[in-house]
Amino acid sequence: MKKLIGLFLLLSQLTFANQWSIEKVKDTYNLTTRKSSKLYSYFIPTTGSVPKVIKEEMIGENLLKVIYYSGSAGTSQIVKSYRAVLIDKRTMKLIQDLPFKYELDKGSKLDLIQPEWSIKNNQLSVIDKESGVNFKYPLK
Amino acid sequence: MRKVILFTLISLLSFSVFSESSAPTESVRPKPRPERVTVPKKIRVTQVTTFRDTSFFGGQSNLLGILNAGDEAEVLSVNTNHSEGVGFQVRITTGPRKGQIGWVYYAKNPNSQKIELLDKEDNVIEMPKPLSLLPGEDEERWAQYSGMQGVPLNVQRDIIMGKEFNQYFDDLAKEMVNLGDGQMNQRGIPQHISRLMSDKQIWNEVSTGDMEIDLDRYRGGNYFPFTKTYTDENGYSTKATYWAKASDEFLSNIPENIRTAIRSNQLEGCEPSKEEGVPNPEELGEWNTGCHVLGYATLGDQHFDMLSTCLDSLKAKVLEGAGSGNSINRDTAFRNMYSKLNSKEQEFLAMTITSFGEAGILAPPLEEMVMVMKVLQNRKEYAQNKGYRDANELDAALQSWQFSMYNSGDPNWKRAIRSNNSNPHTVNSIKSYILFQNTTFSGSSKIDEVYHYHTEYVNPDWKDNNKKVNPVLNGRSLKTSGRRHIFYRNIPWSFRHNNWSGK
Repeated sequence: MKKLIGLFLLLSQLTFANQWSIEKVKDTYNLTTRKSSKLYSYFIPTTGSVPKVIKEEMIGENLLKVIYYSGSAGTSQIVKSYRAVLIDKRTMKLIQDLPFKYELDKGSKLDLIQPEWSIKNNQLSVIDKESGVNFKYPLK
Repeated sequence: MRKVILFTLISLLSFSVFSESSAPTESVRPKPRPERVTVPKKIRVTQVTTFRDTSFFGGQSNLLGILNAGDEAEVLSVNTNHSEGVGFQVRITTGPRKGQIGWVYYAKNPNSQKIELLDKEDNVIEMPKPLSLLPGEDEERWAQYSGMQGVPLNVQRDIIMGKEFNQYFDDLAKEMVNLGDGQMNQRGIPQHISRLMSDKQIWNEVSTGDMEIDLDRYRGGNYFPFTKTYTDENGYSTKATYWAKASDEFLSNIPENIRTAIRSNQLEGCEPSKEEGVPNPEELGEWNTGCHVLGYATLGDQHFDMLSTCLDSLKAKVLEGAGSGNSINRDTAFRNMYSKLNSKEQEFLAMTITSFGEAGILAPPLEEMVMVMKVLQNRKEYAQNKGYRDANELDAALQSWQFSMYNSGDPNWKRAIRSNNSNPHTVNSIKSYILFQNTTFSGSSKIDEVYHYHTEYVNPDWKDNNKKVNPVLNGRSLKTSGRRHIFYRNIPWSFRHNNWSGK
């Protein structure tokens, strides 16, 4: 029975995650989903590769975080970028598109400073020294 | 037949709505129009809608992308050359498209509207309604007002609302800078931000025959009018006028008859600029010490010392309050590049220090450094053509992770900023900047689409052997083996502004 429940939870997670797709609109990419048959489409910047949805998470009750691979970039050090789109789940309004994680490609040597995601005093904070991002968002 | 019906309906409307004999009763008379209309400052998207490079809303050729509900943008200009609505030129102020300029459509029919207009206090601007009631709510009163007996109610409403809608935008024209031909600009928006199409794009379309010169509108000066006819999916055509500055760079590629027309008209109507080729100081701001040289129309070896003095003063400005040696604060230095330098100085700094950090070690010869400058220029033009009209070479250089020398963990950005004019890489970067102004690029017809390169020892997942380019500069090929860069054309990517520019 436990296995059955586990399988059900896994399947529902997969279905949930698969609600998102990446669509190419001319030469740009959009993160797309449907909610109550309404289409929502969010532009996602890429850095030279084809982007890919990685996973979806909730922050609190209303903030949706969709993590995606945004591609690799660089001229002598190749860095893979993962970003996250924050969406207000009630209004489906895009709040921000933010750096989530960086990975070095094979053969590249560099001290990477990762973006810092934290929640303190009911406030989401994202600080990325690499790109100068300093984002704060109150969680209601 | 459609035209006859429409004419009849409009005649009926003008006779019955506005003649005294059938004027509406007091209870249904529309409110008097305010003396000044509220100018929309922002738009907010309410339903997924298209975002376009020009004010033409059919097909995919000018599509920049999709806007989503909640996206907001600042209004730059309005185009009323549409029969069923208007086009708004806007600059996106939220989300990853922030800073991008393009066009959205605002339909006359409220049921088809996908954006709402906001005033300066973020209140939604209601389009004027002909009555406090709509057809269907009180048919007797409505019929008394419209006077259109026997005409379907929805058609009556569309005609009356269309008329009010047009009146609103006619009034709006008085509150904005009227560019003519249905184009209106918000006051205070610099021309280089709100221009409707880049000079280069216009001249390209003239050279392919997609635009025609319209000398009837020409009244002298360096800007010439061109018309382009757009045809939508239903076969309806609209004509738009664009203005482009004439320069020798573009005149050489256009049909002979147009070139002759421009030359002869220039002689008749054009007063030569007092400082030909010098950028407008009001747009640029003050020059830093020695940097007036950047305003010269042409640069040669004789300007080396002046450029050298300029670069020294720019680096000193960048380092103000940012520390020195190995402890330069990257955030402060990058912010200073924007706050303490004008846009031409930003371009010069970006070109010289990027070529220093990316290819200084490969020089001499200087061609690798010059090609890095070409990639920066290509990226700037790509960004501008995608609607980031105020993007420059510095924006392209500092976009995260693109040019590895600017990575926080890479020592080359510090070396490039703090090195003085006796450093051989600095000397070569200034020489390369002069050479860049006088270089002919070949080796591929797509040389303007080279946005990517990498060193021979890395292996990014975007590399594509089918898109490799071997650039030739002034007849000289770049190295094809050993330590070098490998260049690619047209690899897909997205421009976005960095967090230091404030753009």
